[in-house]
Amino acid sequence: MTTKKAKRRQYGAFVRRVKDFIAVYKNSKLGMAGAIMLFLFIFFAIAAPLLTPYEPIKDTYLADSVAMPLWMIMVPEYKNAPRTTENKFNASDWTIDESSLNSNYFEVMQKNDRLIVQFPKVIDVLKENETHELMMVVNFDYPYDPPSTFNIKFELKTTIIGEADYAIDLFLKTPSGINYNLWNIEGMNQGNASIKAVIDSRDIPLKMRLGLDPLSNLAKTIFSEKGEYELVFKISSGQLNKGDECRLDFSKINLKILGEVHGLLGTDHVGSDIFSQLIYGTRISLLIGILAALLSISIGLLVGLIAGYYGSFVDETLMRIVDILLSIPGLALLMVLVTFLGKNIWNIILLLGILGWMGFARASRSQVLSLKERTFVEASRALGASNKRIMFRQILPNVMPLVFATLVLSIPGAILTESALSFLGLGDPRISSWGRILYNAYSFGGFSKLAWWWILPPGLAITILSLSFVFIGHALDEILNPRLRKR
Amino acid sequence: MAITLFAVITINFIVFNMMPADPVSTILDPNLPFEAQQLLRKEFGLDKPLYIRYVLYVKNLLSGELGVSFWSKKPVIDEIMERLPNTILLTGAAALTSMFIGISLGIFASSKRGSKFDIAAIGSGLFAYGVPTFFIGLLLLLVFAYLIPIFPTAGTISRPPPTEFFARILDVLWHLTLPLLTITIAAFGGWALYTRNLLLDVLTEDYIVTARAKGLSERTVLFKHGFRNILPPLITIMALSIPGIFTGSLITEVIFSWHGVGRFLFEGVMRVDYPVMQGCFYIIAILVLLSNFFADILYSLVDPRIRR
Amino acid sequence: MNKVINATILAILLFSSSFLTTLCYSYSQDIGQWESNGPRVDEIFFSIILSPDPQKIALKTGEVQMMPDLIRPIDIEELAEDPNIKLFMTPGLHMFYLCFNMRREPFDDPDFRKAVAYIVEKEEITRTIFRGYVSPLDTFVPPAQGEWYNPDVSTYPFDPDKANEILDLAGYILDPDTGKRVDPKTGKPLRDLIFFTPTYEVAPTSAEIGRLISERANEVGLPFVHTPMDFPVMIRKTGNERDFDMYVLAWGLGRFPTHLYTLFHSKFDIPGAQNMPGIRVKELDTILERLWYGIEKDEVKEAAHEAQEMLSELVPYVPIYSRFHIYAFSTDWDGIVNMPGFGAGHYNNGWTWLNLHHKDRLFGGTFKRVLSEKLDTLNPLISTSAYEQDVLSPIFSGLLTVNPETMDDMPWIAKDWEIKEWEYEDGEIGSIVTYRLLENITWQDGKPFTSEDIKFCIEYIRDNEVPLYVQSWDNLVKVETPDKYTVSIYLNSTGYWYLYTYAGMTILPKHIWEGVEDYKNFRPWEEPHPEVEGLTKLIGTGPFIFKEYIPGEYARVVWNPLFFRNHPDHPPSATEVTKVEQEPNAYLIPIIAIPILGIAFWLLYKKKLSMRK
Repeated sequence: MTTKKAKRRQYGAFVRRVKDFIAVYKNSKLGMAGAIMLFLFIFFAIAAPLLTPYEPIKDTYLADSVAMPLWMIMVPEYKNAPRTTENKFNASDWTIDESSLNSNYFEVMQKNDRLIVQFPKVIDVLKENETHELMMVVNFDYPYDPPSTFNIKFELKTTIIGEADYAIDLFLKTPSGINYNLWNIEGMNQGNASIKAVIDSRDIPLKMRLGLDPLSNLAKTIFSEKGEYELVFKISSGQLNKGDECRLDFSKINLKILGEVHGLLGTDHVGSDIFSQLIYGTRISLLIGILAALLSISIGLLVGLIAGYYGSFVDETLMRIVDILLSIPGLALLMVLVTFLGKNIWNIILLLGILGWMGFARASRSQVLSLKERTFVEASRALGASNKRIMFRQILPNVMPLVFATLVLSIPGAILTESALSFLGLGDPRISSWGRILYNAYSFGGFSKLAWWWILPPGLAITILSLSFVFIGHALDEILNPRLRKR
Repeated sequence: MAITLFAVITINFIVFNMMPADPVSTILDPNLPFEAQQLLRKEFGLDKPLYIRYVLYVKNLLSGELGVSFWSKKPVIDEIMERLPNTILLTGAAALTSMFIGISLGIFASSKRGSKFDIAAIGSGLFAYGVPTFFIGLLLLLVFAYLIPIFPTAGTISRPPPTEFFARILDVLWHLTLPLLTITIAAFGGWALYTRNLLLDVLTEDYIVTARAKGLSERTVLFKHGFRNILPPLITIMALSIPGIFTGSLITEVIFSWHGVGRFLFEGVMRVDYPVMQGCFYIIAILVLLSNFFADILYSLVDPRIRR
Repeated sequence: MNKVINATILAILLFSSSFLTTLCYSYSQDIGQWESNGPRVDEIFFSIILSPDPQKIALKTGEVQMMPDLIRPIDIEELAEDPNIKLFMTPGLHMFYLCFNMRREPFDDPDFRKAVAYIVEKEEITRTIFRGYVSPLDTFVPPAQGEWYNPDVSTYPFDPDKANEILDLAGYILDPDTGKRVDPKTGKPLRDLIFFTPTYEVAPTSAEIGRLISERANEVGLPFVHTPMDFPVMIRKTGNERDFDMYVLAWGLGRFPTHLYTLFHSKFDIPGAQNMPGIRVKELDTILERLWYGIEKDEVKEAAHEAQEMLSELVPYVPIYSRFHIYAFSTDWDGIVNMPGFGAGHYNNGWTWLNLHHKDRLFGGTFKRVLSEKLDTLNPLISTSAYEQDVLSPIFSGLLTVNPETMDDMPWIAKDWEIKEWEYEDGEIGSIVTYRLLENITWQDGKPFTSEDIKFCIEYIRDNEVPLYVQSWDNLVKVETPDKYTVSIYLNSTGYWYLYTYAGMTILPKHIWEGVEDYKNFRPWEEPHPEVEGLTKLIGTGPFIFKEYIPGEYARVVWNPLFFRNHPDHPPSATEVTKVEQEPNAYLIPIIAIPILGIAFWLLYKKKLSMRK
């Protein structure tokens, strides 16, 4: 038989074996459950960018801090929970209040979405204590419960020739007529200036300026009613002379109200989408878990096999090394290693592998020790089999159940250890692992706020992933281990 | 064993001095003048060259002198003794309960393989194993110390503690409940799964079939034949967890303000308090060696096939 | 034209920043009514609870009545809404900053530093990371230092356009291929600029700030690399080895701007000392020396203001924010004095502990507060932790104190004081600090307090070379006690601040400490008083007597009937110390439940086995 034909035959046999295996595997209910769950996770990991439009860490303040999932609005209590609303008011949105004085004084123009107010158009003589005033109004609707945070952003370019004497006030008027003077500025001497105005309800100076308690919630106070609100720019100017000119150039006015519901799983303490973090975290958890576990089990298995089989001097030395390594508390070793190697995901996998093999080495060694004395091993030796053959062909298959058992526990174990490592400062903050989500929840008070959408999903995710490995291990066990077949 | 100990001590020393930090530098105060820092360094003996420090270090440890903490100026051995009863009470009891519950569950689950009980056992075990300890701790704290306030929030004793002897014991037990529950819930799953898997393997052996055929009760089969045969690896793991009892559980200790060794260790490392690190790690090393030795002896007693 | 723009912006900012200052300052004037006689409460417990969630729960269930140092916005907001809790907030003496290593390029270029200052988004950091509960800081002295604070300095509001402009002008052109700016000296793109911060786990907000700043820097072409790092390692690299580019950290400051000297004088640019940026500017040194060694208050104040002006141009640091001190108290208690700079429950604010009383009661009662860390030592000569100070401070009285409304010095144990110059050698000028003491003060064991105790204390510290108090003895020549109630301290150096060095010193009782040879291992709080029962060797002249410390659990102090400012109406033997009602039934639940569960489990177990046949 030519080599090619032999190889093709071997290949065919292999494929048949795999097909048989899959057929048998399909029979195991638990195995299928496990496999399906694992595939789901892998799918999430790969298709992450398709499943969610948000970046898990970069996109912050999609809604307010620790916002509930969007579907909570089905619960009657949260029916009107504030949603994130963003209003961008262009030049064309503003209406000039005709009742304001001297509309001849001000010239209002629109240029590329920008609103430009220029004055004076006409010089006239004012009476004492009189000012020219211009009011620009825009309405918007707010139909939800009071929010916790809002901000208003815009840019104002001022060009002044000669002397300037003006003031701009920004008011927010509630449906019931309460007026809040959120911002003001007064004109100065000539020149050009560009002012970026940010009005944020979290600013304590703003709260105090409005006469409120610094610890109160400004957004809740202002937006306490549902209905139509008004934003009003009031521009007032005193007496200007010939040759003086003021030009006020307003950009789009951006009013953003942060919602308290968002997405499938709400937001964390900086308003990032938790669902995205969970999905992207699948990648990390799978990667770290599987690789680290494989690494530590492989090393442990090898060491255990060799130590257990060869015994005496080899065994003593290897076990001595294991003892030494076990006796050094991981903490100090970890800190040193990480400082030297740097904190990135591959180092974490390496570290987890290196720190984890000792336990399994001992366990597998003890298993090997008892297997070594079995009759079939003696028989093999009598038949003249080499040590290597006995080790790998005879003993190893019998250690496999232990391997599966340990592997299946090691993977979630590795994932958990990664979370614990994050806690000690060895995690990479740019990566959204499930461990990181949990520790954020812990550090930033998610627990005491009972933010179940923040604290349950990562824990459940770890559990379900672990379960899937257990089920798969269970099924594999049954199929591959001949002695476990039901009698 | 002596060689191992010596090797461990030396490696520890190397590790400590490789840590690129220095006890004095962890005291951060703009008003602590430079001269003060130098004086402190001299006090800590940090101005001596490395090899002299190594010799002193080995000498001290081997003569049982564990030194005085840089931070509290209290002998390390006293600090440990202050905390050890608390830690052993908590983690010792937790180890016992989680082993007991876990192993029992594992035995029953394996005997009813594939049944609803089995799946429920694995499921709950895994769930508890998968959830981080602080999660369980905080949840228990929230529910049973706040929402339904029947347990205290912190400490091993009430502040102030009751004066009567019997009442004091009850007080401590009252404070022990939540942290004990936390660790037990977190740990029993691992034991259950491990036991179950070991037993499953053993239960397919020929001698088990023989025993059943002989008409022995399920109980006898399970315990006399099955369980006995998984004792070797089980004992190995049990023995290996003894040093863990000493080191305590850092996170649980923090959440419940339990004055224990776990946190002490962690702080020692964070503050680069050399005597504390050296003393604690030395004790851990000895414990590990002892427990391994102990495990080996038990193992050979339990498995007659091992010829020693 | 540029100047005008600057002037305009400056004017606007001045307006808003001084507005902010007065607002902050006036807010903290919620002092309430306060008296200097007290205490009114009988007993204080310091209950050790290590992490914020259990602390909050303990406060809400009434297990404790005060929680200190709220930091997490979630905690602040939650407790602010709780009707049974009231919060006290005041701007703190604190500075969180970004530090440059001016010994390295490109940080030796002042334009580069200024450009970086323009990309630090202080307001946005305040909003997004702290939800508004800190104060953006533009200056090298926080506004909470009152008259020492100089608002007329250059500031750098967030303005990436401005940063781009400055960088372009200074020659750091943007390289379109790499997106990084080019070093004008080499013509090559700037190397990675490493930005140290503590790790997320140790200080999540600091780490987050580092990330934010790095992002903004990257947007203007500066290759910052955010590098979280273990705290002790970071301290060593920055404090000792000076091996860093930039880092963020915070200083807890005092009432006075003396930190400007220790942080920015060139003589402290040595490993281990605190001039981390390595700034060496002769003019600045001169001003700082006037600040440190000046004797007259006006002189040092002027120097302080000048130093701040200069530093705002040199930009060795970019100040970022200053904390608020926020304390949460149960509404059942009154008499809380919210002192500026420190806060309602701080150890430097003795007024709260003197005035605290239950709202339904004039005198007596037990007050329980949280202590966030266990105590390592209660020996005043070696204690470095703020938590230890929380317990030590009520036990001792200082020579001077501070009026919480005006922040002026107030006599306490010393009824008056002065500092004047002295020629101690040919042509060398030193100073003499003299305090005149009240005559009716006794130690907590009844022995009279005299100037001998002060003399002993200072000499003891000098003879033992106690490192933590080196400023007290480093320049000491001698101490004299012309009479029992006057003490004069002779120094071979000058400095207005020496007044406060001794004013704040913990004065030790001579009759207890004179036999102590090894102060480091002396544990006075564990040894009983040789003569008086119920006291330990840890005695002072303060309003509270130390009773006990159970390691890891709690510390307890009780009011001192011999305190020199006891309230005249305080019943002399008020023993209405209400013990906390134990809920005896509560802990019977687990005691009964566990055996029942155990029995049930055992029964089930038996049944299971017997059922399977």
